[in-house]
Amino acid sequence: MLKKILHLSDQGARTIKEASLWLTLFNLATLLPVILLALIADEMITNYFDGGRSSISLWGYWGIALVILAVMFHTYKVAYHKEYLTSGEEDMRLRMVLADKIRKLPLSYLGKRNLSDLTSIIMDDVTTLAHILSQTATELISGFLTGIAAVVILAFYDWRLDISLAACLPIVAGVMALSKLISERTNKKNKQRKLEVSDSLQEYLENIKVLRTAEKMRDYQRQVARKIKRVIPGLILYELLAGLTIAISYNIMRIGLGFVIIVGSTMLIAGKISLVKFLLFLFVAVRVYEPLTSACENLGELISALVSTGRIHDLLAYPEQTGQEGVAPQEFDISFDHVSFGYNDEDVLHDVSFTAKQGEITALVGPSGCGKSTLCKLAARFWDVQRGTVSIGGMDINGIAPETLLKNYSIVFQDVVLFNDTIYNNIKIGKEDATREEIIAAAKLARCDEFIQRLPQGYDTVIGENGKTLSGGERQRLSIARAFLKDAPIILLDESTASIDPENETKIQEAIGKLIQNKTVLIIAHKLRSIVECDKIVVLQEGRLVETGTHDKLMEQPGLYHKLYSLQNESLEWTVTTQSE
Amino acid sequence: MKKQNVLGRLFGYMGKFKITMALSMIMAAFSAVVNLSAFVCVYHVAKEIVQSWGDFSALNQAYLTELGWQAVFRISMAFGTYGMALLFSHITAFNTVARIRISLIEHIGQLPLGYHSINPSGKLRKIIEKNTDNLETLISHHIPDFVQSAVLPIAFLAFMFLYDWRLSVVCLIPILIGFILLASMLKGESEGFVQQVQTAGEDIGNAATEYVRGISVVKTFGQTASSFQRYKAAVKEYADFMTKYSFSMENAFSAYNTIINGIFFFLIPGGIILFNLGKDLERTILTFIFFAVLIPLVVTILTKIMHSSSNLMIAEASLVAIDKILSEKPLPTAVRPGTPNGYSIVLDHVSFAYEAGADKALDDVSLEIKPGTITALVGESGGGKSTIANLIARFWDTQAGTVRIGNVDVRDMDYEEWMKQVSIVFQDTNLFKMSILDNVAFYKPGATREEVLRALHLAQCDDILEKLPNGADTVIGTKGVYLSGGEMQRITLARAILKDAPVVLLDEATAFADAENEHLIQKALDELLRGKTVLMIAHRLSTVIHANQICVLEHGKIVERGTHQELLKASGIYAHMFEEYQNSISWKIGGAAVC
Repeated sequence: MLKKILHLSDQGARTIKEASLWLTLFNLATLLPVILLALIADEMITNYFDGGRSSISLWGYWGIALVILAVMFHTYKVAYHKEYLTSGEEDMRLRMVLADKIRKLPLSYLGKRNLSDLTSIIMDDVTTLAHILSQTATELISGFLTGIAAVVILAFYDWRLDISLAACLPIVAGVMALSKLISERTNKKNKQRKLEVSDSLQEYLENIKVLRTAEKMRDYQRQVARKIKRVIPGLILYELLAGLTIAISYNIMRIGLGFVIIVGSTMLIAGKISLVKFLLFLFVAVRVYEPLTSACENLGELISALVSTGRIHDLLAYPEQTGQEGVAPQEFDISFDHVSFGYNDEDVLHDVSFTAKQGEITALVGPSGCGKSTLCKLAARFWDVQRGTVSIGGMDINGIAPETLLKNYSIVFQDVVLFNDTIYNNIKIGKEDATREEIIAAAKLARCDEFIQRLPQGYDTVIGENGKTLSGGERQRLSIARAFLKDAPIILLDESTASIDPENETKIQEAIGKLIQNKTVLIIAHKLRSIVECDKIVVLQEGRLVETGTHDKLMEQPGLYHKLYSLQNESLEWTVTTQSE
Repeated sequence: MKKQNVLGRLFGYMGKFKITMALSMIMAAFSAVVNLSAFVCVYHVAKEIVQSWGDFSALNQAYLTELGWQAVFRISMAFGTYGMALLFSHITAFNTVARIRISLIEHIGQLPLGYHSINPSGKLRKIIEKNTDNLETLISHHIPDFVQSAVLPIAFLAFMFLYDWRLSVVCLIPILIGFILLASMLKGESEGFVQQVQTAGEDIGNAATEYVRGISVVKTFGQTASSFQRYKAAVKEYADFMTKYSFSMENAFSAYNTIINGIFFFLIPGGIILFNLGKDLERTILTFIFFAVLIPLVVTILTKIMHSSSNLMIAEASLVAIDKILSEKPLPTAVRPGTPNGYSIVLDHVSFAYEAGADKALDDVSLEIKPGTITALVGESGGGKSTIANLIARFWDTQAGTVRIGNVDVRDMDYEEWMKQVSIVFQDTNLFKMSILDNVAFYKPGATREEVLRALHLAQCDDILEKLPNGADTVIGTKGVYLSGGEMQRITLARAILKDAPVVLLDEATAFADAENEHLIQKALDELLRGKTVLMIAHRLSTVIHANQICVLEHGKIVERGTHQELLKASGIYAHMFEEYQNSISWKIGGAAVC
C-alpha cells in the first residue's frame, strides 16, 4: 500500500521496508538496556539485603552495555543509510519519470496547466515525498512494529503485566480515528479561508499600481488584513481539537503505566512475581509508548503529505496520446470534417468543415474568442477532436503518434521557447544533423544574421533563460530560423508574431514571406490587410464557420468579413487627438 | 548565537502576543518539570518495594495504588500543560504570522511603484505566504520544544541535589556529548550547506522550468536529447548532492541517536562503582533506579530537538527575505506639499538608471509637455520611452535633474494628490473581483450610478454590458463571465474617463485586440483624451502624426523632436522609421512583396 501511495519502485519499496526493519531493531535495541538495568537493580537489592556486601562485577554488565551500544549505532546507521539512499534514488527516479510523462502528454495539457504548477510538482511535491521517504515512512512503520513487538515479546515473559501495559492501546486507536473525523471538517473550512487569503493577496499585488493611485489603498489593505485575521480562529479551533485529541490519546496510552504499578505491586505482595520482573515492567512502561507516539506523529505527517503525492498521482494518471509511429503522409492537404470541440464544458467549435490545400495559404479570421487559434492547434493534434475528423493527405491524424505527426509541421506562434544555450544550438533544434552552413543559411533567411553578428560571440553567444537577453522580435526571428531549417511541409502561423516587435516588423514580415513559400499554410490572422492575397479566407464567429472565400469574393457580400475589414481600415486612419469632435 | 538572532527578531514581530508566547514557554517548562515528577512517582514505588525487601506482603497496597494513579495523573498534567503550551504557541504563531503578513502588505503598498515593476507579484506572494508559514512552525512547535530541552537539564540539576549529584553528573555526560554532536552537525549544516542546497535546488528548478517550457519545442522538432540531458544532469546532481551530504552526516547522526539512547552506558558503571564503594547503599540503589526510570524522558526531548534544529535554518532564511522587503524604503513623502500651478510637465536634465552601475535608462533628458497637448514618444524598445512615463508617475525618483508639474518638483507634491491628477492607461488591464460598476468607480468612490454608466457608455462598453447576465452589476471573475483582453481594456478606459484626471499617460497597446475592439478602444480613447495633457508611448506611428510634439528616443536620449511634418522634412531617424512603418502595413502574406 505504501508503495503505491509513495510511488515507489520495487527496489525503493524493498529498501524502505528493510530500513524500517533496521530501525525497528534499533528501537528494540534501545529497549534492551531495560533488562540490564533491572538485573543490576535486582542484584544490588539482593546483595544489600542479604548483607553479603560482596561487590557487583562491573565488567560483565558494562561489556554487554557496550555491545548494545554498538548494536544501536550499527542498526541506526544501516537504517539511516538505506533511508537516504532510497530517498535520493527515488527522488531522482520520480523526477525523471515525471519529466518523461510530461513529454508524452498532449501539448494542450501543457497549455492548460501553468508552467509553475507543473514545475512545482517536479520540485516541491517530489521534495516532500523524498522527506517522507528519508524519515517519516520508516519511523512510522518501525514505531508501530516496535510497539507491537515489545508487547508481544513481553507477553511471553508475563502476560498479566503485559495486558496491563497494553490495555488502553485499542482505545487510543478509536480516539485518533474520531479526532480525524472531527478535525477534517474544521480543516476544510480553514483551507477555504486560506484560499481566500491567497486570492486576495494575489489580487492586491497584481493591482497594486491601480490601488496606489486610488484612494482605496487603505480600505483594500484593511480588507485583506481582515481576511488574514479571519483565518486565525478556525486555525486555533483546529489546533485545539487536534491537539486535544492527540494529547488525550497519548495520555490514554500511558494509563498503562498506572496499571502496571497497581497490578504489579498487588502481584508482588501476593508473591506471584519476582522483584526483577516487576522492575523490568516498570522500566519498560516508561518508555514503550514512545515509539508508538512517534508513529502517530509520523502518521499525521504522512497524511498531510498525501496532497503532494495526490498531485503526483494525478499527473502520472493523465492519459497519453497514442498512435501509429513511422507513418508518413505523402500529401499535405489539411481537412477539417465536421469538427466540434470544447474545453471542459465550454464548446469552442461547432461543426467546422474546410480544407487547407497544399501549396495554398489559408487564413483564419474572426473576433477574439471565435476559435481560430483552437482550430489551428487542432490541426497539429494539440488536442484530440471530440467529433468529426482532422486529416492530412487523407490520413486521420488521431491515428498518428504525435511525435511522428509533428515532424510535418513548423509552428510559428507568439510564445517562442528558447533554451539557455548558444544561438547556434537554439537554431539547430530545427534539424539535429544540420551543418554549420545550413544553420547560418537559415539564420540569414530569417533575417537573424545581422543581429547575431552584432552579439559578442556571434553564433556562439549564450542567450540566457528563454532567450531573455534578446528582444521579442529577435526571439521571434530565431524561431523562424528554426522553422527554415526544419523545412516542414505544413506551416501553422500566427500573423501577430510579425508585430511582436514594431520596430522590426518589416524584417519579420520578410522572413515569414520566405518561409511559407510552397507550403500548406494555415494562418491565424489579425490584420486583415495582410491577408488580402491569401488563397482562402475562413471567417469564424463564436466557433462556427460563417463565411469562406477569397478576399475579393468576401468583400462582395455585406458579411462579417466585410465589416471587420472596414473597421480595421478606419482604425488605421485613427490618430490621437485632444480635440475630437 | 544565530539562534538568538532569529528568535530575537521573531519576538520583535510578536507584539502583544509576546504574552501568549511567554505563557506558552512557561507552560512548556512547567510540563517538563511535571513530567519529571511523574517519574518520581515510579521512583517512590521502587523505594517502597526496596524498603520492604524480604517481606513484600508488608507493602502498603493502598499507597502503591495511589502512587500508580499519581504517576498517571502527573503524566496527564504534563501532557495537558504541554498541550496548553502548544495552544498558546499556536495562538502566538497564527497571530504573529498574520501581523507579519499585514505589515508586509502595508509596507509593500508604501513602496515606489517601480519596486513592483521589478518584483513580480508571484515572488512577493510567495514570501508573504510561504516564508511566513515557515516561521509559523518555528513559533508553534520548535520554541516550546527548545524551552523544554533547556529546562530539562536544569530540572535535572535540581534533582541532582535532592538525590545524588554523582550519578547526575554521570548522566549529564552523554547529554553533553549529544549537545556537542548536535552543535557540530548544525555547524556543518549552516556552513555553506544551506547555500549549496539552495543553489542545487535553483539549478534543478531552472532546468525543470526550461524543460517543461521547452516540451512543445521538443515535441514539434522531434527532439528528446539536449534539454532533457540538461534536466537529467541537474536532477542527478541534486540527488547526488543530497545523498552525499546525508551520507556525510551518517556517522554523526548515528552517534547522536546512540549517545542520547546510551545514557545507561554511563549510568551502569556509575551505579555499580558507587555501590561497590559501599557507602549509603540504600540511597545509591534508589537513585540508580530513579535514573533508570528517568532516561526515556531525556531521550524523547533530545530526539525532538534534533528534528527542530534543522528547521531553524529554514526559518532564518525565510526571515531574511521578509526583513529585506520590510527594509525597502517607502516613497519619501513631501514635508510641505506644494500645489502645482496648472499641469505643464517639465523634465529638466533628468538622468536615471534602474540599478546603480547599470546603463542609464535616461541620460540628461529635458522635455516640456504643455497643458492640453499631446507628446508622443517613439523609438526602439529599451530607448527610455516607458522610463519617462514612469518618472512622471513617480514609480521612481530621478537620480539627477527634476520632474516638475506646474513648476513644482514632483517630490515636493503630495503623492496621493498628484496621482489623483494622472490617469495611467494600458499599464495593466487587471480588474478586481467586484462588480463592473465598482471596478469603474474605483478612482471615484462617490460616483453615482448614472455617472458610472455614462463613463461605461463613453468607453464604448454598451455591448459588454448587454451580453453579461447582470449588466453593470456583474461581478468580474464569477463563473461564466468571460471578457476578452480588448473588453477589459475598454472597462479600464471607462475607469479613467470617470476619473477625468487632467494628465493622461498612455501606453499604446502592443497586445492584439481584434478589429471591433480596436475600433471601439480608439473611440473610447477619443473620449478620454479630450482636453487633456497627454504623454503617449507610441508603437504604431500612424496614430501620432497629429501629435503636437514627437520625441524620438535612442539609448536614453531624445535624438529628434518636432511635429510629424518637421521630422519628415529632417529626413532623420523618424523619417526612416515612418517609411519602414508604411512598408509594414502594406505587407501582404503570400503577396508579391516576397523577394
